[in-house]
Amino acid sequence: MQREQIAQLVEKSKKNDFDAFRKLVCHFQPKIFAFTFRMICNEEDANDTVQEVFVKVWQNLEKYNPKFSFNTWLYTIATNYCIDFLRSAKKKQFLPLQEEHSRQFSINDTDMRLNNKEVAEIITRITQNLSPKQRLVFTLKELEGLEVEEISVITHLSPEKIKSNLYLAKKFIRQEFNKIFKNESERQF
Amino acid sequence: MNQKDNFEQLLSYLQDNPPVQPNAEETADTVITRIKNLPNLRPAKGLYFMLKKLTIAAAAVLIAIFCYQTYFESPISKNDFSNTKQRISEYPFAHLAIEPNNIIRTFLLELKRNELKTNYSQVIASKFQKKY
Repeated sequence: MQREQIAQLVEKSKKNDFDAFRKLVCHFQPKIFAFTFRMICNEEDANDTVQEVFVKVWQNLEKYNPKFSFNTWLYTIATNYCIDFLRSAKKKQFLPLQEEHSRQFSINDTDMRLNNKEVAEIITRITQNLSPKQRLVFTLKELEGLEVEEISVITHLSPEKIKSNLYLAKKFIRQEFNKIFKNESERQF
Repeated sequence: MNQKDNFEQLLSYLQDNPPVQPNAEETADTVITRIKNLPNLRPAKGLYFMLKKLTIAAAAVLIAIFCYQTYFESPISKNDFSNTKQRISEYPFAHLAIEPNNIIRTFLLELKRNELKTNYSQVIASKFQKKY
């Protein structure tokens, strides 16, 4: 979808056009779901977060500045939700990892379940030692493929801070990855 | 090197395998239903902002009235100090220092009072009496 088309849909949505907003949701849902899922690593919660994000978008459409990319604005709202979720999740007591994963994948499609389970397990495993900020920067840069400037707008972090967070995130992930490989090779021999 | 390769492989795996999302149409339906069920949030927000602005404006007006009453309508500002010594003596000295002119006037009046107290005219008269 072109930027002009998005701008038109946003303008229509501002005038309470539900069809226009529906088109926006359909267009951006995959991106936002992928991002929230990678951040939260739980399908149900990610899905709920996506809905919350779009409801929030609807409520705050008046505040959206068309000078900036709608995509970036969406990511900003989603980021705030994910960070809040991760912070509150830290306070909660979680079920053991395996139990949690078996509970969360309730979709019937087996391929989808396997894929999402795999992705969630990998991300959970490699990012478990990262701070929410490092996790956020890593997800936005490496997995979502956003530019540093965009990440700076979304996270309100300076490019230098983004780079240092990214460096640390990659370092911790490498270390974690190395540990997993060592354990695996020790098991094999 | 091998480690880096593994890391790069992991990254490309995660990039190439985005989580499979539920149907976008279904999500859109749910979102639209939720939005429709919201209790007219946007007009209410508009009203909220209007009320907020009105409250701020009302507060500003009240502050302005208060300032006007305390300064411009106070007896001190109404009085003209040019005519009389009495007026000056009626009010505390601190109030007179509101305007520079008042300070000068007060100073001159004080000088005159001191002059009267020392009663130079009597001194001079007595001197003259002695001489002449």
